[in-house]
Amino acid sequence: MTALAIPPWGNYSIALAASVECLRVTPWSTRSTTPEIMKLGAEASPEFSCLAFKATTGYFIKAAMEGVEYGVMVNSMGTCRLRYYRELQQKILKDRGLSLFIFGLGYDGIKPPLIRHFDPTMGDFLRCSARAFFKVHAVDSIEKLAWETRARELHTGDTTRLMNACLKDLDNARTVPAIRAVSRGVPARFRTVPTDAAARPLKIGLLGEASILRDSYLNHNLEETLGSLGVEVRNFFLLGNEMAKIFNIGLWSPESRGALTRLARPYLKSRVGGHALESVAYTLRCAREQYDGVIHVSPTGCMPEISIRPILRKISQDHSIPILELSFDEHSSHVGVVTRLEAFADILRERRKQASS
Amino acid sequence: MIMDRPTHCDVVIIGGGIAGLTAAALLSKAGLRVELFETEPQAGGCLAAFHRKGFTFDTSIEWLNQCRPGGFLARIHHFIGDDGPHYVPLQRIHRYKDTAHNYLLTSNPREFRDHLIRDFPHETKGLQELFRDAEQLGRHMQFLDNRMRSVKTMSFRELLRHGLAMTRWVWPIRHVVSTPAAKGLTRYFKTRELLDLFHSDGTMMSVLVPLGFAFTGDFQKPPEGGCAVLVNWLCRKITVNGGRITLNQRVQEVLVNASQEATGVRLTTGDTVHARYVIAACDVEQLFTTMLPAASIPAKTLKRLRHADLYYSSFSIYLGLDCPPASLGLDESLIRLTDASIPLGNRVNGEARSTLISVLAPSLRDPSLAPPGKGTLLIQCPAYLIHHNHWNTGPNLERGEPYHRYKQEFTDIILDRVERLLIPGLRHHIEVMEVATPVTFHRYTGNRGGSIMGHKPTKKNIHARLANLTTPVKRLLLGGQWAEYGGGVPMATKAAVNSSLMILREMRPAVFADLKTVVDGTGFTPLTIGIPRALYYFYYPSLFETFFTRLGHIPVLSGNSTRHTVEQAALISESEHCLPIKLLDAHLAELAGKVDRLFVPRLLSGLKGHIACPKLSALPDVAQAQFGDRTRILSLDIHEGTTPLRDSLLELGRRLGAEDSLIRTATEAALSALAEARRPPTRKPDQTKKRLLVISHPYNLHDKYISGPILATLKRLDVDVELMPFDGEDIPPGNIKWDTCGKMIHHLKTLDPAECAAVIQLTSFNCGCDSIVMEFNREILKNKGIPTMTFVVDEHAAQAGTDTRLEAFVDSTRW
Repeated sequence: MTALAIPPWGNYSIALAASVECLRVTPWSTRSTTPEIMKLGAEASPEFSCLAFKATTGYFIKAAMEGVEYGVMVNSMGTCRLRYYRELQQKILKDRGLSLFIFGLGYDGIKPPLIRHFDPTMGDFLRCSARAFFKVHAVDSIEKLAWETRARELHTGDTTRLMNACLKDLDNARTVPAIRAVSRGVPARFRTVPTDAAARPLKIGLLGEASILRDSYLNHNLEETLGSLGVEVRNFFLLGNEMAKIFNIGLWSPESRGALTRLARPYLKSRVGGHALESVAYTLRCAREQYDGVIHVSPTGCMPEISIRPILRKISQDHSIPILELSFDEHSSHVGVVTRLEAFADILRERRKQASS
Repeated sequence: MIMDRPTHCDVVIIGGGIAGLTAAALLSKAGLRVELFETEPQAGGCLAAFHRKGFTFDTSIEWLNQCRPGGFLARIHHFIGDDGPHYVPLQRIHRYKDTAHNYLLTSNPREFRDHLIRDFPHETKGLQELFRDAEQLGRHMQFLDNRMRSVKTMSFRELLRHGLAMTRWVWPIRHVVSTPAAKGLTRYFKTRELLDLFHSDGTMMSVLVPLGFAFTGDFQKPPEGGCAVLVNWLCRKITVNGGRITLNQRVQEVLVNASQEATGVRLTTGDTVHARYVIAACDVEQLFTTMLPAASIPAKTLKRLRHADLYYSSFSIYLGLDCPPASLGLDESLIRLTDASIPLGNRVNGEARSTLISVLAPSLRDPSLAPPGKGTLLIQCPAYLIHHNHWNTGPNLERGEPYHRYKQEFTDIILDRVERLLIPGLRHHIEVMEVATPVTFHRYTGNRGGSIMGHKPTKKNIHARLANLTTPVKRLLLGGQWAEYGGGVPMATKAAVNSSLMILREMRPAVFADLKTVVDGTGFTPLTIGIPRALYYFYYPSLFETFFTRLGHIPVLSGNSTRHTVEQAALISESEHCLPIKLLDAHLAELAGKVDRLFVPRLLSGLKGHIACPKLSALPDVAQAQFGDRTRILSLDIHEGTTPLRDSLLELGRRLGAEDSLIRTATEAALSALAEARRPPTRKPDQTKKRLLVISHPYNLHDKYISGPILATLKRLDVDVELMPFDGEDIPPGNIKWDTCGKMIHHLKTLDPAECAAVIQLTSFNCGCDSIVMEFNREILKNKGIPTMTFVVDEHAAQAGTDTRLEAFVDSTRW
């Protein structure tokens, strides 16, 4: 059976892998980038390209070296560089004499090229889409519970262990009823983690560029590090919401594109590209919902996210909400990131103490 | 001088304060014959200045409002003449100082808020709310700038519209208008110190409005040379236009005929001057009781006037110091000295030991007020005329020995307090000292109770309908602060303008229409529009300057990028931006605060079927975040992919309030200027020499800092250089959707290897588009066999490195 390389996208890789089963290919996927992949990518990529490009390029090179024939890559119709990544990566692979073919995942005629090539039956396609859909929502609910529980757990590591077990079960679930069964069982399983009910952990919003937010290698395991510092995070990139946004489902939900545009309007009147508008809107939401702070992550030189940073600073000033800006590239040191997170958490804790005294 | 006075004129104005002078200037400009009479030997009233031993003292002005470009006063002054005084915004506005605290309100009030939050962290929420409300109110108040016209000169339709607009205006702030400050503040916080700090004996408006003005940048310094500059300018304008100012001349009575119409005035000399209208810009009670026949004013009106709530008068000490005030630790801010031990209610009771003290060093704002190395200091406190038996004066306010003794006593107590709280040893530096009591203010201005701001806008006053432009006598109008609630230069000017409008409506309808549009802000005022010489300027060279000039506005271009611009950019700009955007920030910073508008278009696409770099689409919002506090941003969506440039310019013109026909001619002129500027320089046909092509984005190729050194070196090496043109011509759709990049690729694809010796790709550090496109460019050039070199420019470019690399590259292409 042929193999298809799917770039890592955090825990959603589980769902993505499930979605391509209908194409009768073996998904070649993993949940996070590895140092080896990163090294391959950094060597092959143009100097100023962003970390996400380097990571995915490395991933395809590695896949091609292992004999994978096909890959799939987002090429949205947006204004960001992401639009050209597939093309450039294909060129890089060709220059290196590697023969992996990358399909684009964007609108291109009625059927995406991937579907056109493998041509699954309609029944298969719908079944797999349903599985992927439910897996995405299951991952979302596991993520949300993990954020809450990790900040309150009594024994460090309990939540992460449980989360991994849940994700493994989810990965093994092959049918929609099985997936839903796993999904329904999740809250009860999280309740078994011993927690400190009286704890009032700091609440921090994580927002910014999607691949960095989701790939625990690229973001130096931000969520877990913060959780173990006793911080409840809310990661504003949830694929469930994102899919609703792309297909314009739930026009009146607070996560809809219209609602976010209205929210960001006083500060940003253009979509810019990528998730820039979302970053501004969610920062304002954090300020409104009295979060203790916000962490804005982006790859170094990210076009949309960097261009709105002065706006985030203005929001921080106007609404007195502290914002930590983190830029990641292949040279970021893990210890450096952790130190900054610890310092940020300390400052927020001190702020809260002063405000209540 | 009295001999040749005509016995007939159009308008007689009683009183030469700021209101009388403004009315006289407006009316004489309209061609009316105006006679102004002032009792004192100099005009100006509260704005008059006096000189002692080389020191100049402004009598009572601490700051001005609405003089900023486009503000009400600025518009009126511009209408009178375009050579009026220039006003500069205050940076440091207010300092709140007592034994424990020292807070500074600057033109960025958020610093003040954050300072307070640091000191009172438990009141964070309340403070944030207070400042947010103040900011909203400040913006809200700006609306009033264009609502200064009295209902008396409105047509029925205007009246309806005005009524609706005012109702809509007042509704969201109704509770602020009616709640007393002492009560309203407790809604925000409970800490006594904070309640103390913001305490005011008025409504919440009086607490929030000064903060709001700071948010909207509406505090201006008096003009250089003091407020007398404004007074003298107005006097000059009046006399130039044929109006006459007679000083040292008291008006005995206003002549009223049998049908209760004012027909003129009789002077104390016995002369009469007949006029169509009389404007009384003097104290209203004095006018009604002494200058009019007894029966003409109803007794009820007089009674209401006598019982009105008035603003307090002032006890002022003017000091000339033998040292610069900065050496005493002062700055341009107005310092409000409070003392926590004094109960709140006692601070405006007029007693020397408890009254509020304000200290200001005018010569720090304007060094021309004092001789070099010296300075002036103004100490003011609220005071009342009736205090201490009218300051120990006689029955008709005669000033005798007891008055002077009491004045000295009062002064000593105030100076003691200032020495204790603010400037130890102040008395050793005093070179000149003048003291004004409420008696002095009463003597010079004639205002009831020596009040410097007139009627308070209290409920009682408003219910008694005290403020009126008209009087029971026809053709006698009130033109000063007594025709309004509240005082100060804006209110006095407002009354003067409205009384002038009433006269002009009858006598000069054409001027009335002009002045009306100025007051309503619907008329045209030329704006200075700052255009940074960066990014979009190079996309559209000459386009915007021509367009704005043709519309009658004044474009202001920033200078060429230099080393200094780059250093500035490194300080203020986001560090991960690409170089052109950093440079844009520095160019904007250069213009901000110096122009009326900053022009930052949202460049979405500069080429049909293409899009611009995504970073450019956030620029107006980023500029708003960074510079919006200082200067308003003028923006426009340019999306040539969907909308022709012509339509976008039409939209821009409409946004500036211009007529469609004017916009159309301006657009045509601008587009042809653009085509002219984009046309590449004609080349000498030289068959033997091959060209060297430099390709990049227009904003890199034409920026003096980014491409300058490279082009200079190439010129020195005697290379025939061609710069890639960006002409806005359509190109066939390609893979790359970015406009400038698409253009580059198209240009390289159609390049003839026989004509081009080599290509230099110029790019700036951290350019996102180039990181992708350069790979494709390189492949095209490799297939064509043209040698190429990539040149990355960043903030640290060095000339020596540039030279060496270029020389080596040029040499290699020549072999």
